[in-house]
Amino acid sequence: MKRYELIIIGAGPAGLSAAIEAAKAGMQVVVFDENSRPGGQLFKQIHKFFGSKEHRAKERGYKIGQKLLEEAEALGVQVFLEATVMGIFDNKEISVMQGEEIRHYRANALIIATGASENMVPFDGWTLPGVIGAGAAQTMMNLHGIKPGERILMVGSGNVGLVVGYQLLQAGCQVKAVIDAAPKVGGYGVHAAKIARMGVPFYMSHTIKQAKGTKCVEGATLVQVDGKWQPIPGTEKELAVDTICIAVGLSPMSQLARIAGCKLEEHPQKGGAVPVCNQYGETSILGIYAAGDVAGIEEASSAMLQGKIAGTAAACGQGYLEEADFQARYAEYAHSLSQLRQGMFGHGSKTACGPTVTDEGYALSQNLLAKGYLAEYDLERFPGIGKPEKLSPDRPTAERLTAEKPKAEKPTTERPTTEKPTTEKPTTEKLIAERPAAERLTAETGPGAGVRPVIECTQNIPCNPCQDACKKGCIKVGATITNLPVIDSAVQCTGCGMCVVSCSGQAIFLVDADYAPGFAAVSLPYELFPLPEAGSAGLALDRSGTVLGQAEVISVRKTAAMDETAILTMKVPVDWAMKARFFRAGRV
Amino acid sequence: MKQVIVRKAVETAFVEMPDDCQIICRCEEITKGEIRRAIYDGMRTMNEIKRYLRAGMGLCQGQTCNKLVRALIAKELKVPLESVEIPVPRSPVRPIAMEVYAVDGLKK
Repeated sequence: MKRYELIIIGAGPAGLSAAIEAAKAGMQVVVFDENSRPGGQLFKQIHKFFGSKEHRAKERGYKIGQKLLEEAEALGVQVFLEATVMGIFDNKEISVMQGEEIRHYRANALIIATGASENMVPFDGWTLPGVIGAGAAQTMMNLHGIKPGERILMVGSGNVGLVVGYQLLQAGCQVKAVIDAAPKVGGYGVHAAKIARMGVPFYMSHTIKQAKGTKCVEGATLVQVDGKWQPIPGTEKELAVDTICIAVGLSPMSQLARIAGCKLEEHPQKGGAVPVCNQYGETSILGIYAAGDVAGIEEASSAMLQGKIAGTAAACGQGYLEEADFQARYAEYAHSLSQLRQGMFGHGSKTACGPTVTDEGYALSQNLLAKGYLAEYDLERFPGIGKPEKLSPDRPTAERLTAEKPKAEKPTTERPTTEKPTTEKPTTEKLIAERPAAERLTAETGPGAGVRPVIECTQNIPCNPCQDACKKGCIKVGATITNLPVIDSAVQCTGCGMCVVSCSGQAIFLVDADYAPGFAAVSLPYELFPLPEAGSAGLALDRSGTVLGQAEVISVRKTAAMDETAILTMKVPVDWAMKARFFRAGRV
Repeated sequence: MKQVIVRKAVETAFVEMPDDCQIICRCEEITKGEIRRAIYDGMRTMNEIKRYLRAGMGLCQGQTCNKLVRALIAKELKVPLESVEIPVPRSPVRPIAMEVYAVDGLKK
């Protein structure tokens, strides 16, 4: 029987990170994974991650996966794919199904990093084709390039439901609704806002009653629930959908730990039965560790750190690291992990009704929690929105400007049009408009005026890339990465847009209320294809996804540094400067 | 020592529910009604339900229905979910062809 110094089960973020740390210390490491591709769920994660630089924030998951694989390979880590571990026996012996054969291996140390599986919720018709896990939808779209359906209902408003909802929209599906039996959106507000402004309605305190159809899903019946999760008769709603995505949480796949004889505990906050571990991830059996979702459901960023801790602990346990060296590394990783666990979504903060104020004492937006987007009256109190006087009510509006002109070309209607500047308009304005966008955005437009960032980040989430993104130091988060970003109004924004693209929550916008008389320029992160062209017309949408009216694309910027997120700048009537937050290409 | 477990069925009468035909274990197609009936017959843990009905013994090995069955047990017996025993998994944890499993240890 072949013996390895360290066997890792699972080549996801935790397993690979553990393998890298242990191999760095000089251990002989082998990783088994039942899938045909390594990386676990990382290669499905096409969005930018949260955290800080050392957590690889603002990097996309699949790129992190690629880097981990390259690193592991360079260190001589052997990764066996389509190698399913069937059981763990005494003395750290494992049996692995590889092809048509079962092979047995023995290890000095063992790390279980088997991840989690999706929860299901039973309802009438839940076994119909078309009812799928949100993770399955992600696999179909992001690994195989297949649209799971055309019209989707997302059940569950946690981060998985919200992120997959966004990716479904990116894939060209219509997301008809996000529902949750809880009265509040479960995931990050920024993730919710991202899809709300694209027109996805949120139905909180709603559950699915029935999936309709005979051979496949042809529709869904929703029903409102009361405070005790009981359906309220007469509140049924019909939705025409062909696909129902279930995103109601994950369960740790801890069977192997149980078979090995590790002590397990039922831990609701960790998602189910998890092995009892010490701070190094070591289970009740000496030399067997657990890392990642199998030890409690968290984010991939946390899984990587847990993997690092388990990997170094295993190396130390086998004499490959001095105790002092191990303790130094452990302290670093543990600190990093504790940062990710801070904030209102972190470990131990999941109280029954949740917090009502941020750590700084700002009242949370109830609109965001109930409907998925910030209400306009919420904006002023948050420190990332900036000084409201910059958008004072006496600023000239499109209506006022046209009214002041003796012979208005067209009276502005409820839906002001954004016609191209005519010859009647001042030549200076025309000159400004014709200049390249980047140059124009950096142009000085006078003290206290011009472009400025608007950061609609209103919950304490562990993330701070915006702080490093601004070269001028305009955005401050501080040492606690869950702090809300604060705008320094004294610093003149150059309009470079790096904060816009660095925000994993896509919550930063650039607003130039002085773009042209009566018009504002709103810049937003844009990740849909095809990219609209400068000069093209479309619709400006507000935070709820309601159409405000026509908008014109001023510019679309995209460089390598932006990592696939484009900055779309649109021209809208100045009244919409603090309303318009999304652009929909094409006509009404 | 072997202990004989004497256990009464749930004392109240079994009441049929409108959603009893709902499938809970997809792999083995076991319905909510069958599971509820099993609880009334005296099954108290996922392990017992498994042996009684085969729920959780299919392709996914209970990864999907384990939580649902345990929630049903908790609800019927009016006990907290945490008090319902976690099922005992066994090797092989994944489905495997008998022709592969049977020759384990015979080759070489």
